[in-house]
Amino acid sequence: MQFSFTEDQEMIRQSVVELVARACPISEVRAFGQSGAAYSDRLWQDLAGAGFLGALIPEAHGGSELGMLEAGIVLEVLGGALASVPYLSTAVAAADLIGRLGNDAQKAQWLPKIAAGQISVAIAGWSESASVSNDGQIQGNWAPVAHAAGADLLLAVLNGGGGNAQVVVLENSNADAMVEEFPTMDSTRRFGAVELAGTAGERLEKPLDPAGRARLGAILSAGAASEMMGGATCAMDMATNYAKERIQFGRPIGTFQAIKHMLADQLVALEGLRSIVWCALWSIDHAPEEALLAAVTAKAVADKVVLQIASENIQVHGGSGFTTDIDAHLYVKRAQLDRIVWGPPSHHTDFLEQRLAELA
Amino acid sequence: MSWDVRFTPIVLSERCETLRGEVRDFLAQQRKAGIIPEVPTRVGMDYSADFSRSLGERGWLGWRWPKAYGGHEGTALERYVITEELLATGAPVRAHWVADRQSGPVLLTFGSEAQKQNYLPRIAAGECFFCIGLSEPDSGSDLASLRCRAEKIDGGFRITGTKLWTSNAHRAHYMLALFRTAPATSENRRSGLSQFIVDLSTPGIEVRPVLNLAGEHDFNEVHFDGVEIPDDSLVGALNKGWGQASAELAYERSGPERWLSTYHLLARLVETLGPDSSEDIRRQIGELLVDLVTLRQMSLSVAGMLEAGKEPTVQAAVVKEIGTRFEQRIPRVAHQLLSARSDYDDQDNTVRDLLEHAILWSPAFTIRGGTTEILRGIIARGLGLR
Amino acid sequence: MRLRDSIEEATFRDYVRTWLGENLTEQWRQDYASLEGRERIDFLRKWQGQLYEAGLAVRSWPSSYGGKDAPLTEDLIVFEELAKHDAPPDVFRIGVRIIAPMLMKLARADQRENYVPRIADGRDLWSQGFSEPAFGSDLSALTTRAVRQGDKFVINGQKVWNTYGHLADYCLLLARTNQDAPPHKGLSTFVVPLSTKGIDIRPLRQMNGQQDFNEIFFDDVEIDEEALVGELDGGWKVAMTMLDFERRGISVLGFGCRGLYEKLIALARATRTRDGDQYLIDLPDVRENIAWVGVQARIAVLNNHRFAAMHSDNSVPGPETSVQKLHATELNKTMHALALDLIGRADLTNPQVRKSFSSWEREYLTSFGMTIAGGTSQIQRNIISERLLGLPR
Repeated sequence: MQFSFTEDQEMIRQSVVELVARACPISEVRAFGQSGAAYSDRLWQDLAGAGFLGALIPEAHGGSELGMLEAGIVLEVLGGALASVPYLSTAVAAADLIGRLGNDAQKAQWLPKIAAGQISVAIAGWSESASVSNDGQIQGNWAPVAHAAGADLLLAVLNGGGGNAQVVVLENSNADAMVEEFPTMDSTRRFGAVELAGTAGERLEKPLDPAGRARLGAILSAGAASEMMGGATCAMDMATNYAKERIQFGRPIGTFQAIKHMLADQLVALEGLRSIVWCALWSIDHAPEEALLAAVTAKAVADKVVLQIASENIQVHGGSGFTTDIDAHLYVKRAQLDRIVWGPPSHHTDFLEQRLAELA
Repeated sequence: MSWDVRFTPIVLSERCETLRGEVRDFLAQQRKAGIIPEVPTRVGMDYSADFSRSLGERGWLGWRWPKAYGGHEGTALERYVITEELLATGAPVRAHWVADRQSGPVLLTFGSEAQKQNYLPRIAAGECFFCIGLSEPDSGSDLASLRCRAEKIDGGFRITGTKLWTSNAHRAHYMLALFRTAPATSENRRSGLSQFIVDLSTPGIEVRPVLNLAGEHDFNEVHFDGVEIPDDSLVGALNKGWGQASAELAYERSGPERWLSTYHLLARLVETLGPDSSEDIRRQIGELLVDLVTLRQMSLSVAGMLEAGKEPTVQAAVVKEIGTRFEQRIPRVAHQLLSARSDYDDQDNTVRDLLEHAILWSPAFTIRGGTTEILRGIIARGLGLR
Repeated sequence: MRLRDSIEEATFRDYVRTWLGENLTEQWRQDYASLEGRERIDFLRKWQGQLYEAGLAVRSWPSSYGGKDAPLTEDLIVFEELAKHDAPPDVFRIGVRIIAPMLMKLARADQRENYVPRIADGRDLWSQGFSEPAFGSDLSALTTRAVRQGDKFVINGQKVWNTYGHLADYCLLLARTNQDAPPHKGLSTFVVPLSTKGIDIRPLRQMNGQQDFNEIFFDDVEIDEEALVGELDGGWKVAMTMLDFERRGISVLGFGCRGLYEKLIALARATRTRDGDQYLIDLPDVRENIAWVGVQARIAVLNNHRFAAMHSDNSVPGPETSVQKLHATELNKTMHALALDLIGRADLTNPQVRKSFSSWEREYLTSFGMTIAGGTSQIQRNIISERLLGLPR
């Protein structure tokens, strides 16, 4: 085993960190909720310019042909900055689906635009109750959908019969009529409630077979977990820095073991999360049959660990942590939404269920 | 062993239970009249000057105080019962809460005769509201390091400095504050502090809202720029305020409001889950109820100790430490059990509204009134470890 | 990044598995179980020799010391496979994983040549002489002293928690050589042959019934000045280096956690509740708890591999080992506690279940030692917060 990033990957990380620091300052994050924008356009364009929106897109379509690990690195940095851009749904999930299932015309129509930062996509994922008729009319309800409000495209994953799914692309002109704003406590992103009652779109040519569904599930879970991990890292850093600076009882509060041990436990939990998230990201491209389980496990760990770290960040800050004057609250609110927006909070029992199935 | 942290079991008297019945009847009427919501959709106490006055009229404020000061000479356990019923029903008790719970008792113990005559009857009538002036931007957990000063001038004191986290300073009539009146000595950094009643209508006091993370206006920053207050604002002895404030903090920590904040959510959760719940759900709810019942017994026991004239500092800290973490656990469990249900995102799902409000407020429970970490230090001291 | 074996690694792993299958047999286990004390140590000494001959013992060491110059990842494969095969506790680990790596970094050439090869193949068994009754976590304040007299040092004092000292050939001793310097700047390390006159070793009984560690009393023990390892008064650095290696060494427990997970599943599947109604594995809270520790066991294995990749293979590991050690030892303890919890709900009138109970009891008690040895969990948290997060002391 060689469980480390390559030099190229480390350089990509450094490059994303610098880009996001410039293009997504905390002032913009704080103001986002009031701005009415669908997402942070400046950051989106900068990501496009640096080739990061094309991470999963072939060069022939204007992409940079990287991989899921690189996409995970970008997501982690975006999560840490509380950035409001539809990276996971557009540059990762949608790009991957269109690239694998679309015909040449479909790929040529959408992939270059994604890579160039010209369109944003929201994903209405598999829902038991959604359906599509033979002539392509879709019925279904999805909430919350990240970045749905103002998205250019909506990708709906629908039951196609025979164990397969179909992926249907709906255009913006329909989108606004179908999407209702879903206000949440997370002011750093816009969410929508999507209702389709007979709306028609364009089906991607190939069906999404079970392996493809597993890949999509893995991408969304591992991608979300990576983004969450970035947020938790920044929340822990925030608490650590405060503990070094805040003086009470004549000494920095970080000299008290109650604080030290709380933060030490956070680091242990975060390093554990890091191991399982990177394992999940790697598996998507290199061990696909194991990827879905690794990814939902990573998401389950993230659901627990990230919220705890974000909450403890508030605790370390004392009273000021409970105000909007400092940013600790943003991480908690984001973590709460992250737990539910990519499916209900994951359950680590899947890990055991799989093993029991193998033993039976 | 030098520690003796006991929670003697309490059995409530018949008088207490009769009183409980009276309070419940009154609250039922208030619910019928729409003054208290049938179904709370928020955690915490709402603010209603009218409701506070009506409680005062019923004679349920200033319960333990001498009749000479407008009180009713009742027992701590009776007061506990009244408090418990008010909180369990979501009554809007915010306005009078601080005055009745701690400001009044401080005046009763340390105030001058004139102060007792001036403030206590009005507090007991539900007409006079106080806020707490302790924390400052650089003095939270380390309260003794506070810097807001009161300089002696002719006929009074001049106040300069800033207080923070003063809930309801924008609505209260008075602040019971701790200011520095003399430099601390190297032997005792808690000396040189004094307690004052500040009339919040005094010119020169600037109250700036500090929004909490739920977007609500509860906290304030209160800035004193050379504000002059009269001599009779001083409560108790000059430079002996720390001891008085410590007593005040003990009152602040000991009540059922330190574990009942998310009670409604638990009640609504049980109602929503219904009698046909799985064994796993029943087990989880059972675990919460075990803690609820235990905390109640411990809290009653603390009230009993107050009644007996004791100072249950460590016991109150234990109850708050366990209780506030219990308050945080309820929304976590509720979220896990409710968010997977198909009706969760319905428009009219009021239990979801209550849950989301509880989730937002959750972090405050283990911070306000003494953080969990500070409480554990107090408990450790009670165990002889410090 | 590659999270599966390369072809070379896979080939090597097959070799290890085959070898263990042929050598760590049922007969071997019975023989091991039937021996005690010095006989058991000699049995394990032979085993260490066999591992060495098979090229499994010290692969990542330089070949000049008996290693194979192999990457650290091959050592990890050996540890993983040993754990999977339920190999018994590695009595020679102190020498192999802590003392020899330190000697290779900090000792004189003659010391390295003398001692390291004999550690690799089990000819010498080593123990550590660090902790004292009054100085455990606060190690640098220790008082056992080594006073120079001519070309010798004379040692007086007492050590405690000395694992295997009663059976070992050597002790790596940390003693005070300078009373005037600040505490951690007045210590030196020495190689002490345990047969030296004046050394009195008394066993201590552990809560798991075993007597693996001891008190050692030094009464005017004379050792040659050549026994000094590293610089005079520079012993703290030597000791810290050993502790860095020790923490990583203890973290191989993480590989064992994966086997524990399988055992917990087997236990829950095979055991009925006391009222006979259900198997434990069918209870939601049992599944919940086993699943969580299973995920953490997976994480422990991944951590071991990820952290190994952080440094070049032969360098001294850093404070990240505290993360590994804290995580793996606490997980180990939690998993054993879970096992007892499961058995506690079972029908103990069944003799099979009772046998299982006894075996789990022993393992459970042993798990308490791991969150204390090599620096308690509380000390690990201090190390993590101070050295990794930069919080002030």
